[in-house]
Amino acid sequence: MNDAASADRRRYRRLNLSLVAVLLGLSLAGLLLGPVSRNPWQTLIGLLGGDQRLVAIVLEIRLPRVLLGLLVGASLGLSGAALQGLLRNPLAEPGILGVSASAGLGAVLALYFGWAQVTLWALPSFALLGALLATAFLALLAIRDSSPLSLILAGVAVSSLAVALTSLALNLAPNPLALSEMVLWLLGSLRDRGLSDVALAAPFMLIGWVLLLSVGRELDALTLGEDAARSLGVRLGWLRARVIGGTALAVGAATAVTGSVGFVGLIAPHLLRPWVGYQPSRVLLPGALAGAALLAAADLGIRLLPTQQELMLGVVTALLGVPFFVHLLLRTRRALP
Amino acid sequence: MIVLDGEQISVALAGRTVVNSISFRANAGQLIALLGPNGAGKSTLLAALAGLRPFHGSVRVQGRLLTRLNRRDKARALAYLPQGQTAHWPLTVRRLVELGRLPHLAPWQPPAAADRLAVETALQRTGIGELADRPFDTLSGGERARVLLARVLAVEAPLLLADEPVASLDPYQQLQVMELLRDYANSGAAVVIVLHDLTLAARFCDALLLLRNGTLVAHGPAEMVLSPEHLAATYRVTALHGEHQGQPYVLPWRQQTRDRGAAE
Repeated sequence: MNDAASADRRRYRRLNLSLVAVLLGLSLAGLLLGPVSRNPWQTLIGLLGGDQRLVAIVLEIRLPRVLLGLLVGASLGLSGAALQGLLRNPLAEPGILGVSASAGLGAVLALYFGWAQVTLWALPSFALLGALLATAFLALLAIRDSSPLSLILAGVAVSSLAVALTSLALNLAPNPLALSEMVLWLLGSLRDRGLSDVALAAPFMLIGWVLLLSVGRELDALTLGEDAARSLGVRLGWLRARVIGGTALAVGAATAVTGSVGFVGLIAPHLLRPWVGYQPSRVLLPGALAGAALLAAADLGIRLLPTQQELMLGVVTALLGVPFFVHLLLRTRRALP
Repeated sequence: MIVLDGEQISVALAGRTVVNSISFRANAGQLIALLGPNGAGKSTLLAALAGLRPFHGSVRVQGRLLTRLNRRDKARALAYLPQGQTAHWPLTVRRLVELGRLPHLAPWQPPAAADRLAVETALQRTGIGELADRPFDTLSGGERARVLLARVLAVEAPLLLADEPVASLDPYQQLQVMELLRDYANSGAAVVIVLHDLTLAARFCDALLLLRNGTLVAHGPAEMVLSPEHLAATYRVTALHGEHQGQPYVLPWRQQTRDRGAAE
């Protein structure tokens, strides 16, 4: 039996290592491929040969984009996995529950009222606040009514409200420039980001990740329901606080720099769950890695697609995610008594 | 040795007294049943004993006040099986049973040898060793019940609290679960369960507590607690009482009101 347990751990480690390898491959592709130079070999040779123009393109345009893709994807995948564990609902996800949209609303309000000009931290702070309010509201609701579908419906309400208020701000936007800046938070994109954006978002995300990665065993215990989990020594309030806080930090910071990108937190954990025997604690880390890989792959696809206007990332993830969501919704519905 | 010592336990939910000043003890080796009609306060009392509901009075586990124990010590001192327990994710049987070791694990450390042994013992005891690698959702109702029981056994707590552990099981499985609980009590633990089946209570349990509207109507051995007067006063039924090979059985037979109507 000892062997079974260690074989299990080996398999889990192998899964994580494979995901890291995929991430490295995608990141490399993200750095070497692009509309300017289609041949990765030439790019590599040019970089090694010290081609100034290429070095500038790779370091200033592609590197921040790749880094942000990884950070945001990991944040979304991890938050999705943690929320699903806490709410015991495979449909819970920052995008569907309106957490991303609320963070976007926070960002747009910071822009609309001009607070973003006062200090650099205003925008991410308001995005965090928006994410926090939405997550806390949904968690409170889940305590009162544990039905998976009412939670999703509440998420739809939160999401609709946030989008409506964001649209109102757009509607009343003082000038076209502000308008185009704010539209981004509805659609989501990794385009034209700099390393300063990475530096702004990364600290919040890292704290959020630490919080979210610390809840594994407690989420496992919740598999047995709240009373059984409490009898095993889980403090539910403290657990909820960490998942809500971690989600707000990770998703809020991610949304502050990329706008709302949906469904990554739904797809990544769902794909991984069968590989880790459905254990909530074991979905967290691979879920983050898979989320990062998914977003990196989606963004790479967007950049390489020969479209006239570059597609928006949030639009692409939604197109990929909605069929997934419908599939999961039907399955969850059937599983209900 | 006294494992559980409850004194004047009262529980109020939303301003209504659901459990009213109940005192009882459970010794090591004893299997004790909480009986009473639906809404009598059995589950609430059990949850209070598990430290899951705020209560007045005192509960001591192995001499230590429940309210003074820290989270981890409390989780090691008692194992609790809620009513209608299920698993929200289809974990494998072994992973589910392992959850019972949570109060014993050091943070960030994998299960130690003692934990693996406890899981193995629980799997063997409940006879589900060969199911260890099966996902929970592929099991039958009886198998699920034994897995969830194995999970509470794996805690290896001196006090086991189980809320309707035989509900929705077929007769074979009911006897199986009762024998497992009896066996766990015999190994030196105190076991307190909520039960609806009077015969199982009379046959397997050392002492019964009969509740009505949150108060204790009777407390003691089966022949005393399950008397016709008590059954009429609490369950509003008349029952057939009998004995087979020295063991008592009690069969609810008629509703009391209809009985009375027939007599008029």
